[in-house]
Amino acid sequence: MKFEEILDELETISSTLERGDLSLEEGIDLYNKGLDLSKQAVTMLREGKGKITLLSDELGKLAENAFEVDDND
Amino acid sequence: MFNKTLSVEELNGYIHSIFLAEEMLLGVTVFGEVSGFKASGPHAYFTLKGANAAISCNLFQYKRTHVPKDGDSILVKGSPDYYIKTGKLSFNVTSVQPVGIGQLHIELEELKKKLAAEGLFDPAHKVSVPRFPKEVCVITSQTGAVIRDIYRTIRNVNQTLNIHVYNVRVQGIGAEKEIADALRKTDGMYDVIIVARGGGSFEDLAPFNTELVARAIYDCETPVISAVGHETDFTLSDLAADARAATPTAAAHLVGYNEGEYIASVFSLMSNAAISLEKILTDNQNRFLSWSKSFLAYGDKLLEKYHSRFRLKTAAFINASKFFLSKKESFLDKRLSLYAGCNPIGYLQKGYMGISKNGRRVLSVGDLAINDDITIRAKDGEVLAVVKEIKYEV
Repeated sequence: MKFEEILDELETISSTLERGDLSLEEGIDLYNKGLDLSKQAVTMLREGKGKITLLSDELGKLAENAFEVDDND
Repeated sequence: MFNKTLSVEELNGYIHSIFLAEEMLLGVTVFGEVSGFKASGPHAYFTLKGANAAISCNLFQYKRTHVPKDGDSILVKGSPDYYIKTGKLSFNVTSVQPVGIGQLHIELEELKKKLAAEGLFDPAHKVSVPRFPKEVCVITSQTGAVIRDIYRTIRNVNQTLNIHVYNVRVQGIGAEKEIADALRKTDGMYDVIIVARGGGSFEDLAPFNTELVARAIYDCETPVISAVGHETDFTLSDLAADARAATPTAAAHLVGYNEGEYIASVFSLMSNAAISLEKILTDNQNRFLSWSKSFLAYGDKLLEKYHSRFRLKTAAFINASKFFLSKKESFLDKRLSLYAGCNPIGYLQKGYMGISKNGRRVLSVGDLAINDDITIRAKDGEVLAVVKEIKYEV
């Protein structure tokens, strides 16, 4: 799942809860689902290494190669 | 040579016929620069200048063809015409065509119109650029300032998103094909694609003004940001893209985000969810409370009803018991007094005495014989006696 999708899902959960037409059990289930998703999001964020790669087309498939940005002026 | 003297009309008429007869001059194309362009009603007039020559041009119904402006380099097609009335030579232009950069701009405008009519720039087709992308693809030249600017700008705020560079030539013949290919290959693989190029001349930016690139961008399902040239450059790729960034750095600002921002968004949504859940909880609680209240009230009522019935019953019972008891009491009293009447002690009290023999009461003289030992019981004691004589009553 992507960051954006998690956020969308959380938005849906939040607005569904906000409508308030749920039973308590449904509400708690939904909230727990949201909690799991937010944990997942934060974990994903922490796992991100922030790499930069150079793509090359190898027989129709994209390959990732190391890439160094010349960061000197 | 004419022998006679000519009138002005004759002279001009003759000159006019010469121009009409000269096939070499009919329908010629002339290159020059526009000067003194002036429209008057449906017609326009200007001077076409060469480096060291000039000719007046008439452009009748000028809107039929490309309308030039002063300074434009143009090709005009037409024929020279000698006007008898004024004796002036001019060039009647039937069509105007821009040349050089002018021509390119015209062609670009036409292409833009065509693609717009097809809906390639339709806002309804555009998708929004994700606010928090994780995988960003940059299609640009791997060398040069553009990728470095994008990299630095993103890393200034974000250390975690991944940047994937697809190297293409961004100018020159064939560059448009490389860019379009790169778009097709990377589409669907990343959260967002940036097509970027630094500033350059109109010709340098040409690949981004091609139908090939515009269509490739339009066909992408992944959101595409076009970041070509400087603020003032507008390319077809900008128009076809889901978002236009004025510069590559601006594109990096669009995709780069602080991770804290994302976490804040998550937390804010979850705190809203928590508030809503609490509300549901309170609502449920209130519903339960009001339910139990009415239930208790009902119970109280029920209890009250039974209670009063019970009270009535018990009162009746108590009354009945009392009545019964009182009856019993009087009955008992009566009995007791009766019993009291039967008590032999009573007789003794009255002065009577009782006789017993061997512990048995003597009820008749026949129970006795002479010399029997008898006991006489009185109210204040006993007498032991012996029978001396027995007399029967007749």
